Amino acid sequence: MLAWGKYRNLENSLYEFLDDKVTDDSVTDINDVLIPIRVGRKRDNDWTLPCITVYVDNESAERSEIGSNNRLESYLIIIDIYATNEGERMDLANWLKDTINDGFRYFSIIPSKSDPQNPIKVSGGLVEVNFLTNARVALGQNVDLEDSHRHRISINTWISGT
Amino acid sequence: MRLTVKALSKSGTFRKWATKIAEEKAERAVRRLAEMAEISIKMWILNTSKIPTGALADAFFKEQISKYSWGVGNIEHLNKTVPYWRHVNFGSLAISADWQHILPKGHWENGRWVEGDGPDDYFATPGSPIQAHNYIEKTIADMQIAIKQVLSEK
Repeated sequence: MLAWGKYRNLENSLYEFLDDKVTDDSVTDINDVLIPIRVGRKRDNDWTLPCITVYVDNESAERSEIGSNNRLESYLIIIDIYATNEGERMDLANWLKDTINDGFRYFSIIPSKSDPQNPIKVSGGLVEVNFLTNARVALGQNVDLEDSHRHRISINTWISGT
Repeated sequence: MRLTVKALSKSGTFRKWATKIAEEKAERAVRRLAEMAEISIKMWILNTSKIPTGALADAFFKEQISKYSWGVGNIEHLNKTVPYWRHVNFGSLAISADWQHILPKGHWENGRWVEGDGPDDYFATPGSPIQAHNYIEKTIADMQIAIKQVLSEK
């Protein structure tokens, strides 16, 4: 079975990092329910508000030197916050920015046929973060509930070290 | 060994000459970055659209704000000509503020919603949300590389 590629590894590494942090920092909604982290673009009807979605959107790979095939790979990650009110949106955005500011650990995932629920995780380098945008998503008034209190943080990331 | 350098030009001439070169270079660099941003955003809009009409891509163009300042994507112009630009970038469950999840009266034709008021036209409710194209974020990421390129150009 093919090991997961970098995009999936990055998404999963960020997902696990944020999921753990949500528990550590007790990031909950008004009903004391932990805020769920979802991987992918918002499309499933069973996703409830509030939630945070993460996904890798794009990759840039400029040459590290002229004539070299070594690439400086960087990955655009989109993080969308779907909140239920403006206060919650701002608090989650603030928490998220502070949480990912120092980067997160990259893990390579190798699926295990014998134990699919527990894939083999190999710790890799540190994913470093450069913020591109951090702003409210304003889609106008009288929009659907999911679109009413949205916030987007987009980051450019790269893996350093091993 | 002692080495002495003497300027042959009048005092202040060298400074003026160096400033002129720096200004010209800065002007060229910001114009070039604006051109690159325009190309990048148009490319991402067209490449990520299923059936691109070009209307959204055409609404993004570079414009000079001052001597050393250029912009791409005039929000006032975008809101007037392509009011759905945010929805396409960020993804959305509705296409405009007062639309309440119903398309203007019309019908489907070759994969597009054509507005009309004929006997076959109707109000439709979209079944699926608009997927985020993230063309703005992609362009900003491209510009990180473009800035390095332009600054290293001679």
